[in-house]
Amino acid sequence: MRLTFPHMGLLSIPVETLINGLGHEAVPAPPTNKRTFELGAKYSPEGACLPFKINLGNFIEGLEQGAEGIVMAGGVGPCRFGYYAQIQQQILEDLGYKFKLLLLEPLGGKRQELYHAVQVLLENVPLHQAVAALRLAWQKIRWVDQGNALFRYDLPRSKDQRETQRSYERFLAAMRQETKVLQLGRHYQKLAEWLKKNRLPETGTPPIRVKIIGEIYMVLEPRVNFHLEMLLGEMGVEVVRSMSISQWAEEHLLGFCYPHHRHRTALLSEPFLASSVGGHGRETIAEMVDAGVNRLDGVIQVLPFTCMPEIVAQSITPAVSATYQLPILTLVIDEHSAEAGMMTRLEAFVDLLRRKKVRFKSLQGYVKG
Amino acid sequence: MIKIGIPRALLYYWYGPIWQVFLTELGLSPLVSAPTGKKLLNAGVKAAVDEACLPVKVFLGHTLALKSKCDVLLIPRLVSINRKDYICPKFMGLPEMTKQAVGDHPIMVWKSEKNCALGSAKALPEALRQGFSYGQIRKGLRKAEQAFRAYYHLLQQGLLPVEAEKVLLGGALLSPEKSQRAIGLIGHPYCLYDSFINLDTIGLLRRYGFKVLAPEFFTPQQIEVELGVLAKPLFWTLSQRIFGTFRLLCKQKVEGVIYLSAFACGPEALIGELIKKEAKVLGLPLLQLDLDEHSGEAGFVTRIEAFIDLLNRKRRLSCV
Repeated sequence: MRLTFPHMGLLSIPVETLINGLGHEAVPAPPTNKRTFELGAKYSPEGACLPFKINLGNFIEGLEQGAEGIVMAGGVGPCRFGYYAQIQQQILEDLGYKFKLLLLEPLGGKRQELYHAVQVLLENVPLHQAVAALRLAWQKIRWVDQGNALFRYDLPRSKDQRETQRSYERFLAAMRQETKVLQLGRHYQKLAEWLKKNRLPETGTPPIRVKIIGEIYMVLEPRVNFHLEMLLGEMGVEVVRSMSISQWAEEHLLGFCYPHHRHRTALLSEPFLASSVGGHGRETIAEMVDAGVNRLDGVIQVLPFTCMPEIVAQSITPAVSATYQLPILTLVIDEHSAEAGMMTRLEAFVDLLRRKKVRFKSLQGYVKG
Repeated sequence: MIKIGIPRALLYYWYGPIWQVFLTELGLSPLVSAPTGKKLLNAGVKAAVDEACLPVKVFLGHTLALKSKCDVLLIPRLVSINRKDYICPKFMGLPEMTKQAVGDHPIMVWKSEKNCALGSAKALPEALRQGFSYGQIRKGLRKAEQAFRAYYHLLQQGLLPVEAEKVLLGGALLSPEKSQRAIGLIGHPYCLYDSFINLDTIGLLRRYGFKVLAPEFFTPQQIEVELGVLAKPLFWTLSQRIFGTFRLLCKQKVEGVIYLSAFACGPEALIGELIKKEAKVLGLPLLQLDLDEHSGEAGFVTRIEAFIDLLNRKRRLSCV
């Protein structure tokens, strides 16, 4: 079956691998663009959050490319994501599209739906081949996420930033094509070599470090958050983020193997937010506390307009910010946000962090001298 | 006597009597905030983050109004009241959001989570559990539960929460509205019964001679039956009620339905879509009105009046 899926940052790399490996044909929608925004905003309910709209736009563009089925994840609440697929299916059917929805519900939800989806996905290949495809996809996303972390570290430290970006693009393209698990690490090593050659010699002042937290879709999809990480990197800021697709999968799909993610979140957020609030609300607070404890220079919270869990988190951030003396910038993005406004705010924030750091340093010198 | 402030907002319209009866039984004095007003709303809007929904802003306004008048604020943390369902993320973080607004004013949290029901001793604030004997608490809870049942019975007879509370706590005798023409009103309880933020929609409809049917007039069992048509069960209790009620109203032959939703309410953005589709399939006139802190009375009333004109016209034509 020709299958399409929603985009979320680097997610298309492993999902494409997986779908092709299972003997189906992946039909990725064109990368999220202006038309995706327009289509999504036109057919979605007005008050729906931005990821809903972009997903819908992706589906429409994917179906236009000839996809026969949609692979989508489900949920059990209380975040709205759990009910995306049902509403999107209804909207697409009203628009006259014919397709099959393969809904991957979590185990706590409706088992039948998951069973059906898995059955359809596995119908083309024997089980051992399916397991191999799954392993390749899993390893791929882990290496890609590692490469991305390396890139974020190196971008503010490189002699020629364009060269760094080109190396990273080359790495992603090679990873997308790769079919052997053992080769994945080689590509990563190659990237590490390229980046190392391009690195500036160490100076006494490390770049400013900023952590990006917030709603996972907005954090991970550069085409929706206006290439936030790239922009900051080009300004000479090292972007730290612990949220990634592999980390998400470890926490939510393989939670029984990796319980430490959940424990860490609960432990860090306990003093400020005693209850889970769905979505990534609690993680946002936990990551912010982590940034404060580790003395990062600042935090940027990104959320889509009307995101329920993040609004709860946003209400609490002033308390965390005051406790750890941690500057925070909250960016609320919807389909009307523009790059210029974003740029201005980022530049102002980075200026502020620089000045704070210099002043702190001179104060330190004063105390020592 | 220790004064405990209960904000008249959010699910106060469901659980207000439980809290009041229970606290009175323990010898504390519950103090419910005055109905929402302009000043209160403005204070709430100022205290909340811009993106918060209108009901949360109203809630914060009530807590700020109570702050100087009471010793402790009672804030509910309603995570879930039915198995597998949630209320909404904002209800889960309500105590923390309140703390941001009121500073270090003492707060008691009454919780309802997946593993403890609202009426159980586990749900009680820590301070109450430690300050009173087990027997006192058991007795208080039993009384509260009785009051709660009586309250729900009154609601299902067609009384509004405000009227039912008067009957329950004050002993007044009121009989439900009797009228030939019925109109449905759906939405979250805190949108429907706060007559300031919805500009007294119920009063307006009654003045036009309509009997108003709201979600609280139906039993959970009736609503459960109607939810069977959904492909995937809804995991928001309040949205379930809205959707189920809408289908029930169609069967009860109401002339039309008005849907009051709050601006920036998460679940309603998606449920609105389901309801619209359902209305199209069932052929029932539907008016959806978004409430926010800028709602002007003129625009609001005009739209409701136009809708009523439409219903009148439809009725005339069908009579002929």
